[in-house]
Amino acid sequence: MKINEQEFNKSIKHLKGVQLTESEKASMLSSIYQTEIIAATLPVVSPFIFSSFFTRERVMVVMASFVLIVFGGGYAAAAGSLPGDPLYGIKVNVLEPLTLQLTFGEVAKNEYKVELLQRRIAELEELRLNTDVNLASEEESYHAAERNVAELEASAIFNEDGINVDVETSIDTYNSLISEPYRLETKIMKGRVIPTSEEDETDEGNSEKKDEETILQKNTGQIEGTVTEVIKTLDEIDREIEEAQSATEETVENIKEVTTPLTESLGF
Amino acid sequence: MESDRSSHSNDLKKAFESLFAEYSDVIYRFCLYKTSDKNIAHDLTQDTFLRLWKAMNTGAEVEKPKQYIYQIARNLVIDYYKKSKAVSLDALEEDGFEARETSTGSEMLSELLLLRDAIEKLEQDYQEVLYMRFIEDMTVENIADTLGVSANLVSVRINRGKKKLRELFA
Repeated sequence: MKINEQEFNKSIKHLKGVQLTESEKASMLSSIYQTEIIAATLPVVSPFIFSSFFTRERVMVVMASFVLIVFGGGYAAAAGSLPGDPLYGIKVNVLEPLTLQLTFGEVAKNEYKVELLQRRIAELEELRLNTDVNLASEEESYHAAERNVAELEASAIFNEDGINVDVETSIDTYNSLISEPYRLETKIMKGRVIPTSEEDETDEGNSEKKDEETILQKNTGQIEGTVTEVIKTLDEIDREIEEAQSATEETVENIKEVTTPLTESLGF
Repeated sequence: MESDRSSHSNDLKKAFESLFAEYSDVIYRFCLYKTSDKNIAHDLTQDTFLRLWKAMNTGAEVEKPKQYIYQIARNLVIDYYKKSKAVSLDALEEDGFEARETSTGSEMLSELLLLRDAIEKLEQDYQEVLYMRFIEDMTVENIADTLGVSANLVSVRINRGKKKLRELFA
């Protein structure tokens, strides 16, 4: 059935007037607020019956056993290491991710991730007690903590107010213990005052300017280095030309010495 | 700390309710236009805002709310049609279920079907643009922003769409 222009316009007019009533809106809002917000999703289970043999967890169990057998003593030493210690890298890059993989269940995993962040705090506190805080150890701690936060961001569970109290408190404490450049920033901290866009722009502008200056300095340094090398090469070429000239002159002299008596004896 | 959280929660609720007030009718009309069923349109609108509320609660940054809400509604309409295909209306009626639409407003709904039928005869590119222009009275810039295309392209599509629509009229 075809519609004519008049009917078309009439239908549009009708549709434009369609709206929800106030009571419908109120009941809609009420239903929305009553729905439980669940952020964490359930892991997808493979339908393949033997897949569990090949899952990462199994592989990680074997690896963990291997590490424990081979490096039994080192494990304990690494586990107790602090930022700046030689074994700290093994602790945060090998042992902790391995333990995380060996932790089963979403809730347990999230708890362990929060625990890792709290561990970073404990490490910083211990460093402070030993008055062993320096930029290198802070940086090492920061990188480890930053990774912990990134993992938490990917799977954090929030309460009904949209806040993860454990994470927020831990990040606050961590930031209070570490120097400014190494403070953690995360979108998990929702209760925090966010700087205004103007401030952001100024900060961005400043950092861009700084970046440009650094690049300029770096480039200038590189150009200076190249110019010095070119000058050096030119000097070497000059020297080589001089040496070649004197060698040629010497050869000409030698030839003259040989040819002069010969030409004289021939009567030229 | 506690007061910070509570004030943040209030801010979130306030922001959500302001978006709900601004767009609930728009989304309801869109769903009604797409489904021609008031109950389904009502459910889809509620689901759209439920998804928005969940997203806001899990810290998602919604930069362009209108575009974002429209996208949720569009996806829900697509899901609805996929599900409806899986369980046909005939099969439901055979099982004793009745269609939910009542005779109330059936005249308007039949007009709506004709309207949708006319617009949907056009190519996909023109359909949404014309809907937003005619029914939502949106400006070219607004449509461009919502669909994520250039204003120039929207302008061209509106003009060509109108022309094609006129050709379709009886």
